Amino acid sequence: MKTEFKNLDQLLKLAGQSSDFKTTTILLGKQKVNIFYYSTLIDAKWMQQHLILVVQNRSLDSEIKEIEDIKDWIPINDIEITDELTNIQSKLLKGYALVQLNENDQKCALVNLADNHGLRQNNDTENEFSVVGPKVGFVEDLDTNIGLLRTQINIPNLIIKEIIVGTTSKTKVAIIYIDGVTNKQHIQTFEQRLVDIDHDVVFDSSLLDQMMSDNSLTPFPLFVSTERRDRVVYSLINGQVAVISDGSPYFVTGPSTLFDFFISPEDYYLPWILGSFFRLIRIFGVIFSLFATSMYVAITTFHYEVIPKDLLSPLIFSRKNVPFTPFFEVLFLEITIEFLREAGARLPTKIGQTLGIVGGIVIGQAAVEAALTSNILLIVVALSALASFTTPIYKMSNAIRFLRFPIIILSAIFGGIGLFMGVCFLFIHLIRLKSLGSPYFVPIFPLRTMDLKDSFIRPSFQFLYKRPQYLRPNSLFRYLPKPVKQKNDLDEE
Amino acid sequence: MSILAVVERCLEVQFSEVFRILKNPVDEKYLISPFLIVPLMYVSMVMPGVLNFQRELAEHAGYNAYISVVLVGISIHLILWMIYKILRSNQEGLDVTAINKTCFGKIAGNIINFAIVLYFCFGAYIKFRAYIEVIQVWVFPSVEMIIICTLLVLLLYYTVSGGFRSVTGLSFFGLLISIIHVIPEFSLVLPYTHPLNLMPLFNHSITDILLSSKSMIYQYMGLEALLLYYPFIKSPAKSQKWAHLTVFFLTLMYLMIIIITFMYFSEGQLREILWPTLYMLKILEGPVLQRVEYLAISMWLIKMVANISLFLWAACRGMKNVFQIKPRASLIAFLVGFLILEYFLKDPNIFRWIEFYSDVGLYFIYGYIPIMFVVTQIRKNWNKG
Repeated sequence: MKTEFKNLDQLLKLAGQSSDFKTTTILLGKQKVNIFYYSTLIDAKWMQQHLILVVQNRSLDSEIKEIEDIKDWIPINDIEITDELTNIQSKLLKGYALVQLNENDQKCALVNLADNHGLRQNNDTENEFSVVGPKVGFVEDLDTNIGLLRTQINIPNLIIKEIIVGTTSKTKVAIIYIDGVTNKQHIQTFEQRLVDIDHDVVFDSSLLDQMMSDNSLTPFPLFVSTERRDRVVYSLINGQVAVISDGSPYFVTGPSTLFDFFISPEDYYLPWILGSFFRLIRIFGVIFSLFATSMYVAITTFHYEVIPKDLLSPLIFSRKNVPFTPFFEVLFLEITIEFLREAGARLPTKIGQTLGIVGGIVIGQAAVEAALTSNILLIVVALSALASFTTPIYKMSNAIRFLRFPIIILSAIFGGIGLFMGVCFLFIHLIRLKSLGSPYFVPIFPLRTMDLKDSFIRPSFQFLYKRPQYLRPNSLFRYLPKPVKQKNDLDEE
Repeated sequence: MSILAVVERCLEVQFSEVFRILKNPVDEKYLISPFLIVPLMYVSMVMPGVLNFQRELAEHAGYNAYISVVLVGISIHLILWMIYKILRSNQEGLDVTAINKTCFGKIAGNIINFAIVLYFCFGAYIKFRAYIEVIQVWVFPSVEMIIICTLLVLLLYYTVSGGFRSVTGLSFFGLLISIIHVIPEFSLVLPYTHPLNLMPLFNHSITDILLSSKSMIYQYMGLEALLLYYPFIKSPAKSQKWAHLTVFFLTLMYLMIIIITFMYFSEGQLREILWPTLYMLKILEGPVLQRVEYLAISMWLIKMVANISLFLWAACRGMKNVFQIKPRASLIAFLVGFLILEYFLKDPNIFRWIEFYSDVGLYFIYGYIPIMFVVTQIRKNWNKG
């Protein structure tokens, strides 16, 4: 959508149709100086103090002759003199005031009076919570976000490139990387993909995430999107590229691998043994939540021989009054849990929590008592729901919750064969996926033994001094491995 | 257009054809590292046959059949060495279809190439059919198989259309999964074995042992796929040691399975059992699971899909090299063919088909490959002289 204007008057006439487009006229002797602005975009107090008052005071002892003089008059740095209509249009919409000396002047001054009201200045990491470690999260303002980043990456090598994306929103999108670390190819690919985007409004970085992704036919997120500063800093120093759009608190980092989504920054704040343990628990949680209920369906529908006889009697006992097939039973409970999750996400926090507890306990208890489901299944479903929420990145946990359903359906039709068909599909899909042109399933396939060390476990910092090789960073070493401080050999000093 | 121009045009096509073959046609980004030949070879050689090869093997040589396993293993090492010699006789990065064309001329070479394509396609079908048979016998005796077949075909399409890389990836997981479950399973069977079953160690004639060896060859068939995927290996020369290692490891695995089976079943028992490997697994019992063979067969799916898709990939690649047909088109044609055959061919006796395939494979491995070896070596020396 684009309107061509012939002259400034036409532009001002169109803009004047909206009620927040204001004109203030100052009389300087005989001269009528017009100031045009969107009152909703500028800081009125600032304008009063630094523009109108200053000009009026100054005009008492000197006279303004040319528009260029205004630069010397006003103590504001960001002033531009132009007669380009497109420039004027876009600047006006960004919170600049247009100063016109005489009526019908084409050459005008643009003074930056933009106001950042309505934006948070800081933010807690509410959606990616960690017990240990900083709770600094990003906000909706691009400059604040970059400032937050600069406090932790305090070198001039941190490069920020801006691109305008969106035909209607004209959103500033920043590509951030560390020069000398990040492979040039990743930066170029990112840039190229951002430039190629043709979209009207960029609401959030997640939109960019989808538009840049290599494959839109996948439930998996192909880039990590995070609101945590430490996570962005970590991916930057490892040689990844980060992208953020103005107005979004979420950074998008890439190229990512599947394992990046199961890493929590907290792993690095805890001792490595505990960090590794929790990471393993998380990965086990994912596998459990993907396959537990479908295993139940496959085994109770087709392969009852697989259940040992000691386990068979409690299972039969719990299922003897249930009138449905295991498939319906599972579907009923899984969909209940999905309802609870979705309702909890949409409701205000406090109501959401209450609803979750009440809904979960009451519905679960009532369903078992009404013999709609067996209580063993209730345990399995509840556990797998719980396990799916251990994933630190929300988008990934959504993908995993979604993936259970096709696998459940497959195992309801073909039992174990169906289950493994699902696994097979999943494997091939993961092998075929690419994030920014580099394989998604690395370091498992293609096998990179050197990168394997920071995937399933979190090794001690003694071994973490190299950047991941799949990113092909320009410098391989993050820091020099420290020499062993003390080496004791059985009581010998 | 004058006749001369037509001739010129033909010549041009001929030359461009030659140049297309001569330069390495595989893009760098499709290459796999030499180590990944291990899963590829493992997956291409291990087939449903591993579930029931013991019975046929013991038919002639009785419980001396373990010698046959060793003999065949050694001969396969020799064949593998020949394959590498053939592939390296020409420029690096040429597969067997190109070598056939340079050795036998365009027409004769393409006829041989077409035979190879048919062989791989048939092999893929046989394996597909054999696995369906296993599912039917063990998991779903009464279910109509056409739905499972359709899903399998979709799965195969998804794998092969991802290119060689995704076939390799799936093979990698196939290898991982079978290593994870094969070794513990067999070690758990050990307490129930009778080592004295193996005695006497040598009481059959050489002829019997050689006859047994013939059935063992089927367990190594699939290694000839290397002839086609060789150009896809990065620095192929390095992959040779991995290839030999795989064959060695596989021989060891077969030896282990055969010895454990012989110790587990008596000779009379073994004759009556269709699927000895699966019968052995029946005895295992864990805290949450028993009768693991049901899950084992399901897990096999991953390796089977990898195996079949490797063969399909080889066939499609061959079609591309011989007739310049787009691989995707020939893939769809093959898979639709599978489904049609599955629907109309109600032949319950898959074993007869396997036998036929086995015979063809025997001639391929022990006939075609040595001949090619001799031809390429002579050619090479002659060119040098």
